[in-house]
Amino acid sequence: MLTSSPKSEPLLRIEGLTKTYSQGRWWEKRFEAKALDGVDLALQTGKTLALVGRSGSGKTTLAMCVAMLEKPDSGKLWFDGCDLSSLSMSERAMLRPRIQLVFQDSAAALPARFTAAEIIEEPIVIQHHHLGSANIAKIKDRSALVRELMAKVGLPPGWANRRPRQFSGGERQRLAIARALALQPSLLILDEPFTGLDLSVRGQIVNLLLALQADLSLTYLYISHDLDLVQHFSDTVAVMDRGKIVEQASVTDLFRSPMRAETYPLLRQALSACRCAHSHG
Amino acid sequence: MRYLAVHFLQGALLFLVVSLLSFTFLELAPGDFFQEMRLNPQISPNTVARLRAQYAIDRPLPVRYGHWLASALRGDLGFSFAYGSPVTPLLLVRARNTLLLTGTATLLAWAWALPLGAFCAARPGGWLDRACSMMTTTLLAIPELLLGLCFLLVGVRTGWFPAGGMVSARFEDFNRWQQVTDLLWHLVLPVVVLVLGSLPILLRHVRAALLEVLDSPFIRAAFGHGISRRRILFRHALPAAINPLVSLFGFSLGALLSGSLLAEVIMSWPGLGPLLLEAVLARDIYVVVGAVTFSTIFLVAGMALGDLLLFASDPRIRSEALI
Amino acid sequence: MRLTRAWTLPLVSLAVIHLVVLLAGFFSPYDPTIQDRTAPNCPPTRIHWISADGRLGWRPFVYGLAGNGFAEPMQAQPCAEDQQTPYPVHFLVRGASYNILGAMTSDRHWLGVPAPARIYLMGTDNYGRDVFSRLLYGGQISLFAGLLATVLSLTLGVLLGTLAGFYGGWSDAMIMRGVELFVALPWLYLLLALRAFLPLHTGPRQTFLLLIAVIGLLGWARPARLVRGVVLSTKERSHLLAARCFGASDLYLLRRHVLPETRSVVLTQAALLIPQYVLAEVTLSFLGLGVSEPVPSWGSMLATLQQYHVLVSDWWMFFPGLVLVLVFLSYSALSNAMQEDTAKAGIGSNAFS
Repeated sequence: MLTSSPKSEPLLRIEGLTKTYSQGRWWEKRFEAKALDGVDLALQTGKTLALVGRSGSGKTTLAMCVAMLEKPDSGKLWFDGCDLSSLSMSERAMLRPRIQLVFQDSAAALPARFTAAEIIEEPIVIQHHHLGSANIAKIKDRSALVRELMAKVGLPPGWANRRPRQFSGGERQRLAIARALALQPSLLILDEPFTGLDLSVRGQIVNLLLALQADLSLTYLYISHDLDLVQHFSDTVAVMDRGKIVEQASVTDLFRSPMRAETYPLLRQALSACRCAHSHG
Repeated sequence: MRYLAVHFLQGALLFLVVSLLSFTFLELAPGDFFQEMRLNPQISPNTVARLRAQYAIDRPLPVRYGHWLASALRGDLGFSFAYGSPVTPLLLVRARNTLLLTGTATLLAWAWALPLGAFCAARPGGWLDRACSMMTTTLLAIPELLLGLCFLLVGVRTGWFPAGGMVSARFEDFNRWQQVTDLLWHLVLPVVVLVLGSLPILLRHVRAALLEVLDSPFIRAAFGHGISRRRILFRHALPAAINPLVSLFGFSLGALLSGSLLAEVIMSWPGLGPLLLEAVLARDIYVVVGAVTFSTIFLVAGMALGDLLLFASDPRIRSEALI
Repeated sequence: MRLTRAWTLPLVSLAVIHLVVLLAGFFSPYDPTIQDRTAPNCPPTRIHWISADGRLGWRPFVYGLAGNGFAEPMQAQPCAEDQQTPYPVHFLVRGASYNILGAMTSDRHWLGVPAPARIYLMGTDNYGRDVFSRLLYGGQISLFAGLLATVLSLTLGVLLGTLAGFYGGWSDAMIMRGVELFVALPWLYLLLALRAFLPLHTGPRQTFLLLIAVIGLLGWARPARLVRGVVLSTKERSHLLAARCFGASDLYLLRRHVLPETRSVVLTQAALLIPQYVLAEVTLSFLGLGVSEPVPSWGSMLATLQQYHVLVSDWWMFFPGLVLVLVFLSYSALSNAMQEDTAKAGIGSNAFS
């Protein structure tokens, strides 16, 4: 957890986060599910924290809370020193560009009717709606930015007018990453981004992400349900089970000597997957 | 039992809403029966004023609605100014006539749609299917209005069928048997119009439902067992496809009162439709409100009956309800 | 939506019908309200190409009608032809002036014959009015009432369906109860009753707007339910969440992500509703509750067929019905083409949609 980082203050700090989902009308018996049950986490700038756990352990809920798409019931979230729960709506809106999300299923996360260029520039367009006419970027500037981003993620700029269904899985994920980078975020949450991609493509995307991290000094929160790629792609690992963080250690420490019982089956699964070289998803 | 309770509540709510809305709108509309009457130069204004006072037209709206509701729940739906008689018996007689017409038409339509649809679905693309499809498309494009007029023309030109009405002029003089045949003779044209109007849609639904079922593995298994095609079609496939058809049947039942207005007007059949039309044109308030509420309730009751039939016929729904 | 052959035929026929009806002034030889009491109930004027001495000519011609003073009225039927003088049919003639869409005026008509002959392409009614002209002007009322009522219904339906689907909760519950109520009502009865509750004797323009309002307001329920379904399924997709991440407001999401998905539902509903609403107007006019005389409407023209002598002898009064059937066939072909398109799109799609 503690590495030699230039900044002593973590970019993201979570303390005691809880969130419960309940279903049912007021006259019916309520069905409650505790998604987050007191989560503590810290993420250093420029590093990658992998959040691992089985399906249903609360990983996606945590991602939603960090991205400010859901409101936690209790607990504190600090981003770059700001307490998110104490911010007003407009201040939170100002902070949004700095935290971005790359979704699991790129086919659903990219609107099918938009062209690639429209997808990438959508964040900028939305932000300018917010900021009003004072800061409207010209169309020429926008298309220049789009081309630059496409080049950065390794997509030929000539494809700017294609639609998502004309891209392969890996290319779509690159498109999603380009879109996430449009607002120059500091923190990128990657929610199982390699699902459905075959092994060689995964490798390419991992390399791309690592290159971008070095280039743009990004911080990654990488969510996964298996420890497969974690070795290659993170500095610290946090294991989550039933809404709590049960183990948090550096990658090397975790793989050498995991401490908690919940980690074992995940580890076994990851190691066997490495041997069989099957794709997950 | 929950089904019944829910539908009863729904029906009651609908009754209140529709009757209240009708009342309010009629109140807001300019002109009433007596104003129309005043336009008639043969009736003196004194008579009009006396009639107005007699029927308490000038009391405030909530009072009148309250009175109407109270008496409606007792079965008395008000008074018809145009006919000079209570509304309820008038409605009942007309409703009986309408039901005679629509009941026959609905039965015939379903009796034709089920086997025809089944045979069409059994050989999709075959000559019967294509012929039925063409007939359906053509019939759907011809509105009931035109169908009624065309058949009226046929009746008048050929003289084989009466040009409208329910009974002949000398109906009372006939003996029982002659009365029945006379009624049937008058029934033919309107029933044909109604059947031709509803058959296309029913046929399409039956065919679609059966097509879906005939694709199932259990039908193919039945084939493999050597069961005859006809038996499979009617004893195995049709019961499995009954689900959407029962709901449709419920809807047919509900539309028994309200679906034949045009045909009745064109063929001069003395049913609920022409009564409503006359009342609307003459602003005969209580008849309008009574007829509209009555047919709305009928519609809800029909759909409730359809749901009940579904419950009774589909064991899956029964077992689900028990959970 | 590619323009395959399945689309072109119905679209073209509908376009032609609507264009002709819109330019009713140009295409109708006479004013629809002018009565010609000397030639009532006349069959369509026979157009001749072969002259009396057996020569085939280029220009068609008609004969004058006895009723118009060409022959002794006592000796002949008013609608009999007087074969003495042929009157040639001219095109693009000058006639009574009319205005187009209330903006331009003109007095050119598609065809005409020199006075005092008359050309009644579809005969006359019992007041001696030209049925063809009345058909075209009546089409303006019937067809456009249907179109405008559909626009009203669909707008209401999309608005309420989107509200119910996107925001859920109380608004959804209330709107859905409303939908169940409106779907359960007997359509024609309610139309009648609603029309009754409104003033019976108003000017034609008010009646026209009233008809549109009444027909359109009754039919919002089914489109609303379908739109709500689409909105519900679109609401949870990740690309909406992603847009929220970029700070999108609800209005932006609705405009850019949700409403475009409803387009196909709205179009299919339009193809289904327009003919139904045209029929609704025709029915109301038929029953005497539509636009009042002397403005023609297809319904009121068909209503004359309820009279015995008209029904039996004046077959040309059925023409409005024929045009109605044509309109219906076109719309039904259009909706079939749409259904085939969506079916094909469904087969071709995979995990992307």
